Amino acid sequence: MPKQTNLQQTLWDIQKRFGDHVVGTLGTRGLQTAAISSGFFALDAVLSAGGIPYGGLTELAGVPTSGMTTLAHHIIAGAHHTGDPAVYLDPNGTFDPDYAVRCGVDLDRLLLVRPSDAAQAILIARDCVRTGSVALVVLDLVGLPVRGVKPLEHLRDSLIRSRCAALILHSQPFPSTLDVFFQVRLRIERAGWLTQGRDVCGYQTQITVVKDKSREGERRVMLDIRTDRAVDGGNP
Amino acid sequence: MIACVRIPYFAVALEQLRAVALRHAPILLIRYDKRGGRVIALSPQAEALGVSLGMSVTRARALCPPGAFITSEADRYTGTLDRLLGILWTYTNRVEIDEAAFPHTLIAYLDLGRLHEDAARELLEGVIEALRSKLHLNASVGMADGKFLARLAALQAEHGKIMFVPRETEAAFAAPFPVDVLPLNKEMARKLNLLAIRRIGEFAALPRAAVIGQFGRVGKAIYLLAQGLDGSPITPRRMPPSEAVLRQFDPPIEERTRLDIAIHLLADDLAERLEKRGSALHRLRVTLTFERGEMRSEELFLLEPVATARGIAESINRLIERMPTTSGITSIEVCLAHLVSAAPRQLELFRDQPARTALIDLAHILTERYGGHCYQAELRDRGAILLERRFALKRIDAS
Repeated sequence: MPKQTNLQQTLWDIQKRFGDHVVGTLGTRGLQTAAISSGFFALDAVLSAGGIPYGGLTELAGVPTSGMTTLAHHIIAGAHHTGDPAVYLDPNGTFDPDYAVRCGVDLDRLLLVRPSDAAQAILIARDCVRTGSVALVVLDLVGLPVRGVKPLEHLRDSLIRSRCAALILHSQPFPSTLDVFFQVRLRIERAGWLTQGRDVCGYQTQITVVKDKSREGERRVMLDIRTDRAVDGGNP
Repeated sequence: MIACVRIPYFAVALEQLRAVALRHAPILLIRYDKRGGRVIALSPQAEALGVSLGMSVTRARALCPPGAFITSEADRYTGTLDRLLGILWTYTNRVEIDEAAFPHTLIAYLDLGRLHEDAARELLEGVIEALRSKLHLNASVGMADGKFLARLAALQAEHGKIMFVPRETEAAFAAPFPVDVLPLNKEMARKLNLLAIRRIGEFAALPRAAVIGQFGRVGKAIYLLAQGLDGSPITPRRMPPSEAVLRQFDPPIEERTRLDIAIHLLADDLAERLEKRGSALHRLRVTLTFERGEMRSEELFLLEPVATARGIAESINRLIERMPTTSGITSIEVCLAHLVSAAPRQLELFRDQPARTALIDLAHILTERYGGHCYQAELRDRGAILLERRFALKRIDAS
């Protein structure tokens, strides 16, 4: 479509010569937020961007059963809520579509990729970000070693200036020497069980915001995760 | 305390407000999808002729020939829903909308926290009045400790009235209702019908072990509901981000110079807040209160988002110029809404391809580079007991 290509080129030329704000398109594409909602009001409130920020790496560290995967699913659902597609990189092969749907994930907007190891997962994540067709990339690297800093550096560089967020799920927090690669670092720990009568109906999870690039200080928030899908965020 | 605001025949009421001629006609709202046209909302007159929700259009036309069939798009009522949410959010930020009942009936759950009955009543009377005056809609309201009982109370309450279910009387209150109001699946409804259990009270009187044995985990949750034990929390809708600043002046502002200084200070404050959030505003509302208690409000929608103090001050000035000032100004309130990311963005004209197509394209690129690692989860049988039978993972080939 030569006409459209010409028009696109003209648009970029105008932007380059006169600045970003001189031309605009009608419609709703301009109504973009700076972050993806985590699905938990309390957590969004303590994060400076109001959720998981675009253009950066976010680390979720916690042991299995701490609520890490549930939180990741809710973040994917947050991206889907605004109509954006997401990619889930699952080298462990543990992705559960049934639970994902119960958390609000739209399977039509989710691509599941099963790379052979963590290094390939990071490479694929980088390529996904570079294509610009997804808004969220989730890397489920629980229990997998991440060797070397170069792949992470490439991923971080691809994310800058993109409208995409990347989420790394890991059982052990990355060493503090890699702190510079992450925009947000969250620690997740299960705090206790929720009971209804004699039955366990969910659990409480404590989320510690260890690092937030735009806001100093450590903050904690408690979330209620109910196994019957209903989820409730407490006060920060 | 949870309140349930119920507006029956919500979509039909909106259509009747749009076209007065439809006031006494049977109305049927239909939506077309892959399976064809279905009835998604209908008026009581159409119900009386035997039409029900989810019925095919062909069958509905046969049952209700004089009906007014209106094709409804998915976003036809979202504008009114947003306005309604705006009203409810002024009372509490924890509001849940029952998506399954929408748009035929509007059911909104409000989390009132630990509010006492009297205070809750007063607040809910305000809600009913606001809905009536601003949207011309009549609501009935139920109050109880759980969502399910609040819904039952709203079902029983008259239009514009509030019904409260006190503690310890939940089971007795729910007992006379038919079992159909419980969230039964098809199989459970069939079994209860065979067992001649018609009322919630009869179901609640069954032994717990027998219910679990017969209906499993789902049956247990419904059994607890029938006994008035409902611990499901509100899943609130996210409020759109906004910022607001209120400045009061004593003595009231009468000179233009003082007003200009106040506006610039306000704009500086708001610009600082926006900078912290990394946002820019599209919508701005200014409310002035005058010495005699009179209030005036004006709103502005900016095509290009603004984040600077100068831009905000100019917009406030434009709005104040629209409002004639007859006496001293005692307060100025500025609300910024419709906040968007302030980061510069590269405009793209032709990238509106649907999400699914974009993902398939991406999957093909990845498959070519890294081999067949890409899958798409597909629904196979949502009701299957075995997890592996509910969904299937389909590999995406490079071809």
